Amino acid sequence: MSDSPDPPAPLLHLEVQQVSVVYSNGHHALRDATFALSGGTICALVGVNGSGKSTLFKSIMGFLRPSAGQVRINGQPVAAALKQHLVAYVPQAEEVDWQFPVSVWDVVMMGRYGAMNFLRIPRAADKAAVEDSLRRVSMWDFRDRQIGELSGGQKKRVFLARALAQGGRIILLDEPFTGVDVKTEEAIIDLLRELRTAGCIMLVSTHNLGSVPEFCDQVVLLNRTVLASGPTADVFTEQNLTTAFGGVLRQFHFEHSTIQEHDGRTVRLLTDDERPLVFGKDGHLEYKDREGREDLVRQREEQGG
Amino acid sequence: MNFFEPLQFEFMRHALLTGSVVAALCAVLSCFVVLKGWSLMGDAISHAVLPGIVLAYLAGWPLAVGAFLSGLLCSAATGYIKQNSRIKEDTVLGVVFTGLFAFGLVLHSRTESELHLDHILFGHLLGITDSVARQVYGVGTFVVGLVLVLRRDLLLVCFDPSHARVLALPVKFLTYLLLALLVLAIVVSLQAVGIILVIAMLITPGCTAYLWTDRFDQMMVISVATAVASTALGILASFHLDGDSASCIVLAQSLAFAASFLFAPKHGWLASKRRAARNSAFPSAVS
Amino acid sequence: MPDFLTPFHYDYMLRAIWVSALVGGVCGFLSSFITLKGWSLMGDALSHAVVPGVALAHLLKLPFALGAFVAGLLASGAMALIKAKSRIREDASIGIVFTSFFALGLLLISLNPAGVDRKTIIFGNLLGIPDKEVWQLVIISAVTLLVVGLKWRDLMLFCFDPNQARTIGLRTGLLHLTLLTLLSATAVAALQTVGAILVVAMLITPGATAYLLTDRFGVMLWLSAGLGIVTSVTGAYASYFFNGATGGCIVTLQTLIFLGAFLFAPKHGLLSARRRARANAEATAAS
Repeated sequence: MSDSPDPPAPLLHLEVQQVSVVYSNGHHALRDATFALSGGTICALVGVNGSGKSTLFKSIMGFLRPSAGQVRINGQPVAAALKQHLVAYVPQAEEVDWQFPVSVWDVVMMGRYGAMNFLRIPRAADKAAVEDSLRRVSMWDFRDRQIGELSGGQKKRVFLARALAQGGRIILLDEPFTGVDVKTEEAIIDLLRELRTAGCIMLVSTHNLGSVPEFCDQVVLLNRTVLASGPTADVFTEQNLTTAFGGVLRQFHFEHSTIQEHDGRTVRLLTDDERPLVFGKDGHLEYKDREGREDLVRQREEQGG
Repeated sequence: MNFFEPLQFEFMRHALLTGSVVAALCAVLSCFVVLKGWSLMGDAISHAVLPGIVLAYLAGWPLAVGAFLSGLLCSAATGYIKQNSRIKEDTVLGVVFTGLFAFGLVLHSRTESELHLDHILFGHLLGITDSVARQVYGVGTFVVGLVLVLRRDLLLVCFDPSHARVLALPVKFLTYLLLALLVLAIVVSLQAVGIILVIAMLITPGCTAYLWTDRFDQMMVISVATAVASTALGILASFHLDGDSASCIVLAQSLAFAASFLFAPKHGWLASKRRAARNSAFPSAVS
Repeated sequence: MPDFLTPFHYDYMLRAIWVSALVGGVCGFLSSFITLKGWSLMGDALSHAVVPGVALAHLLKLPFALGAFVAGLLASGAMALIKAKSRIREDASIGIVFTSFFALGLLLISLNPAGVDRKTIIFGNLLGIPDKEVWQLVIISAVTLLVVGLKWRDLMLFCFDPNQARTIGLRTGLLHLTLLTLLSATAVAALQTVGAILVVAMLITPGATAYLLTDRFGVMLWLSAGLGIVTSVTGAYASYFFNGATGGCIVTLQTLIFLGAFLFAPKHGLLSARRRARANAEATAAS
């Protein structure tokens, strides 16, 4: 466990060096992707669907052999890192069979299998690790529940606990915030921050652009190759995001919109990651373009005046 | 002896004709089975008809009626259990069809009947009676005709049921109609090729055609053509080898599939290999 | 002497009963993994695909288990190849391969009437099973029980989340192959007791039943094994009164128990779900 009294873990490195992946059907999923991360960090992996996020994950987990380049963890190839159980993976909710007859405890215990003996009979240390991980995500009271009986946020926390129990130092999270309420999202982010302090590398693939600056200190922008990577402040710029998403990202230009002077500087913005819904001063709807809405603009000008 | 010489025998010509009709009938439906993902459904129904046949025999009804009802029972029971339990569809299908088949076996073991289990299981193409042949022709014409008339509607139901519903097509009715046609085809075909191999005739030709073309109408034509050609080849081969005719037909279809799998111009293995090689040689050509 | 004790006075009946208990238990054990992994169709396919191996082994005077095993591996290789290298869906590719193998098996049997009997393969031959085949069944069962007993936790993780299994360094390729091997080995064993068509029932019905009754994997394992043993023993015993339709009796019994669980299971049964739905409706109406 990361908080056991072991000597402080050595600094962790993840290097992706000029990785290209061509699938057997000829599809070129990734080309010449290069970036490097050192622990502890929380790094967002951002890109449109089909930009190669899951391909990159699979390369780091060793499921795919890159047709060129390599992934190195602490200077070793992936296979060696897997043997030390360094890499942990928190799957997307859709990938899991929630009807499977296992309890929360069983699932988290599966994280320990790599460290167990041939017969996978849990020792006291394994049980302690599972208990500790469950307590850290506040799921200890749910340990005997069948996994399908949990809420979306609780399910996520169970799989995060499994990554903790495994003692993974490089944790890959695939869309961790979909189907999760805001409170759980914050709890997960707090936990990730804790792990960052402990020196782990977390790579989070997410569509939730708004939350990236909140908790990620680094960003990798992906579109079939690495467009940019580095500290969030440097990489998460409008220009870079426009390149990464092209026209896909919705934009809302205030100067073209129906928002006017009398709204002052207070508008409320609601978004589901697609296109923001903007309300003006009196809670009336604002539109992206003035064209075709001249009447509305005039009407509101009169009201404002 | 010349390869085509067996055709001088009346019973061989007979078998060839009936076999071809069965093959064409199954081949037309196989296009839908493959696209709809009903392979296992076809397998299940073909087994599940057994208790219906035995019961119809005991009750003195036409065997086809009993078979039809018990095939429908299988798909209805599967749908019901799947909707009302947490078990996956393929498992439910497996449980239901084996249950029905086993029940059929137990029933058969308790009846002193002249019902040849062998003929139901393995077919009896070379000794097919005139009345069965007439049944095959009648049902074959009916099913193929109906499918050809309704093929666009049925295709839409397979491809995009929600869209079909929006267009106010009777989706449920069409799905059940397709299922009923499938059961009907299985019932008449199994008298020729048997329960166990009718499923091959309902999967393989459609898959073979699917490798050759991207157009549905062409797919039906190719499917029927390969199925009929394989049937003729299989029947002749079985005569020369003195082997089981239904097995030979299925193997001929499998060979046609294997050849298509390797050599089909666009979706064959070699073609996609060439494409992959070209892509990795000139990666810039991809984007 | 009461009639219902007569079967126990025959040595061949006693032997049939303990052999079927063994095979039923082993299949039951494995069925938990098969149903959870969603391999029902695979079980059906492998049980048919081993037939040419059995036929060839008889021809070459080799142990039938060896032939069956090789045929099973070849078939699963062919399925994987077609799925990976063409656009045919998985269920259809499984259907094509197993029907081809089965047809090949039937052809081989028809070419060599003196060899293995077609009926034995289709219906099993529990009551007349020769001694040396009993030994093969015992060895297959012992090895399967040993492997599952030692590695059930790994196999469970492999069924639940293969990606996780891989990241913590389990060799998923090996586990996949192990499960496939155990599946074809038990399919061969069950082939002897219930016949090729009903093997799949032995491999999924006990697991599906147990799945309705519990939410704990360990409990599910024991429950499905127990169901397999009890139904196989009862079925073998009952077959004395049913003209030797052993497979039919065993599988009919298994299906009846499944239906019982589907209706009455305490948590996942139809009736309790109905009760829950009604209670919820009342609660909302009251509030």
